[in-house]
Amino acid sequence: MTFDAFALPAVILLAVAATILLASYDWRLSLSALGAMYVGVFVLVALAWPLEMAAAKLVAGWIAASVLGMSLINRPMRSPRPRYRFSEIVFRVAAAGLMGLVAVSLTPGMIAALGGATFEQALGGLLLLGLGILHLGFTADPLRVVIGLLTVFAGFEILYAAVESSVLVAGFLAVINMGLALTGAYLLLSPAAEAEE
Amino acid sequence: MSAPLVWIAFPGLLAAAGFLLRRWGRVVTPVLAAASLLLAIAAWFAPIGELLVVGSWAFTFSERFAVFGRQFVLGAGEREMLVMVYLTLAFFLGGALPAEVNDGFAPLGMGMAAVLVASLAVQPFLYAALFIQAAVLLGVPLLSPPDVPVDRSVLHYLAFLSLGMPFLLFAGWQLSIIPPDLTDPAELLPALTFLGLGFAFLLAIFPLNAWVPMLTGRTHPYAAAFVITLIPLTATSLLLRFLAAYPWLLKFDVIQFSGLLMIITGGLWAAFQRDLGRLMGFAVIIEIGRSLLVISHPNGLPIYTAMLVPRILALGILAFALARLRRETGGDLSFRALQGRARTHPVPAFGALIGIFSLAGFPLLAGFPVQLAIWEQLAQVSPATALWTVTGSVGLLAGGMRSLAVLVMGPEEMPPADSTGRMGQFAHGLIIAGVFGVVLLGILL
Repeated sequence: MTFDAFALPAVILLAVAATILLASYDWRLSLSALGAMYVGVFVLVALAWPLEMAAAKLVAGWIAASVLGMSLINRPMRSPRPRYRFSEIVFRVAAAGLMGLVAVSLTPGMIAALGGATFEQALGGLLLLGLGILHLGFTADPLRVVIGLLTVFAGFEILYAAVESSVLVAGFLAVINMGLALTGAYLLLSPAAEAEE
Repeated sequence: MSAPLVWIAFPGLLAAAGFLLRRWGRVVTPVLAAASLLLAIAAWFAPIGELLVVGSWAFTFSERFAVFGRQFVLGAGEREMLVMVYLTLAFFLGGALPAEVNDGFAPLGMGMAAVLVASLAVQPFLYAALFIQAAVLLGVPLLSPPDVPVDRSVLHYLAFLSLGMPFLLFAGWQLSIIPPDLTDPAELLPALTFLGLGFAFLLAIFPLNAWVPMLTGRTHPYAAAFVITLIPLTATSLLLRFLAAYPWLLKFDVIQFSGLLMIITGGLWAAFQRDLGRLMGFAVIIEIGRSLLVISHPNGLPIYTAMLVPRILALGILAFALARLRRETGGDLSFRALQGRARTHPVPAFGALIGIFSLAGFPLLAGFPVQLAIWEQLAQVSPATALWTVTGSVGLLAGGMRSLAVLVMGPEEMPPADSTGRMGQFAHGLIIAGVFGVVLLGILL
């Protein structure tokens, strides 16, 4: 089965999902976007890897999102619902747009460096890497730090899949994604997590 | 039987069992400390790769173990690091109970050590970054116990160290496809950039090191010291493997420059610190800088190996003493909270000062002979570099002198605090033994 026809829609899905992750204050929306992001990752990884190995990434990503979701549902002390500030959302979306432009401008260089990567893989990977790092720069909240790192790792995995197809590496990356989610769950269930932005 | 099973799988299982039994920390911690010491001794003497005859049985103590087609190899070349990792673990676990770290410290620490040893063993070594990342994740519950609010320094630790992995994996792939005869800097630039960024994150190279003093100042100093001792130790080992596989990397002076920059900035910042926890963080930054400087030197490897034991000993005593002082001040290690503590709590205060002075290379202490060797070797190549290196030590020494002034100042009549029970006396005994070890090493080396 070939996923070439879905490659560009997958990049669009990744861009939308990562922007929602960056701008959203609602953890339900964030985790849904995270789940959607892994569908895009699956499609772009499947361009280079066998279907079953690419599916492992999808499953690992969804497990990671589920672990975070379950820990948020079971959190003993709910933090107050954050207030939406329109100007902040506009700022974050604008920053995401700028990062998107940076990703587009870096894509030809990345294709040349990676050799085997397609335009969509390079663009999708760079988008996630950039937006993930941007996300990490904006926050000091455990959930958002973990989501930022998962986004960075997802972008990296798309790019790395184009050049490396080792089963052991794929397995370890899946374990690390799930380990990161478990770490996030542990931090979320700690007594009074700081919510500094 | 194979070496990876003994030094990776067995401690991994012990760590898992210890974690399940962590409620009984007073039993689990000494058992794991003893097991770590045994593993270090076994690593020193084990006949890896040789034929063993036990009665009528004969088998080879293999150095290899295969998983999913990849090899884990712990041969004679890894013996030194193996001993160092488990000795460090045993040293820190030995003081874990009186340092009053959380119950999960011992099993998680052992788990970290097992995973980091796996990073030393995995072939090809380019995949070591994956194991280091797993160790970083294990470090989070160790730094942020379940009953303590999450500090943002722990989140910075997680974010900064995690960002190193992707860059290192990319660098490894890039380097593996570069032809050996290629030396054009333009062609090498992507690989060098990825490698530089990966190690900059992993070794907390300036300016990506703000989280180190933040971590040592805001979390338990003993747990923080353990994590920022063990992870840079294995990350430096990974850097050494890169340098051994691609010796042309040393042609670029970036490693030496990074090391020097860390020493100078670390020393400068250390001189003006007003918190002993943060001061320890800057001491660690200076030590990482020294390591980079030494390994970038053509004949620096023996010196690097020689500087590990004095460093770990001094850092361990400093962290342990700070953990005891922190207990008395309610978690505050600022100069304001520590005023006059050398009068009320002379042993931990003395231990902390000896730790700082040894790390600064004060004469007659363990750090001095090693630093003298570094300065001598650097001065032969570049006197200016040697001089700048000295300024780092001077900065740390100034921080130590200021700490000394703060610890002894206060009203005239400040009687020593009452004995803190059997555990307190045990803690004092450990500090005195550690100080004795630092002085003895300084004289013998």
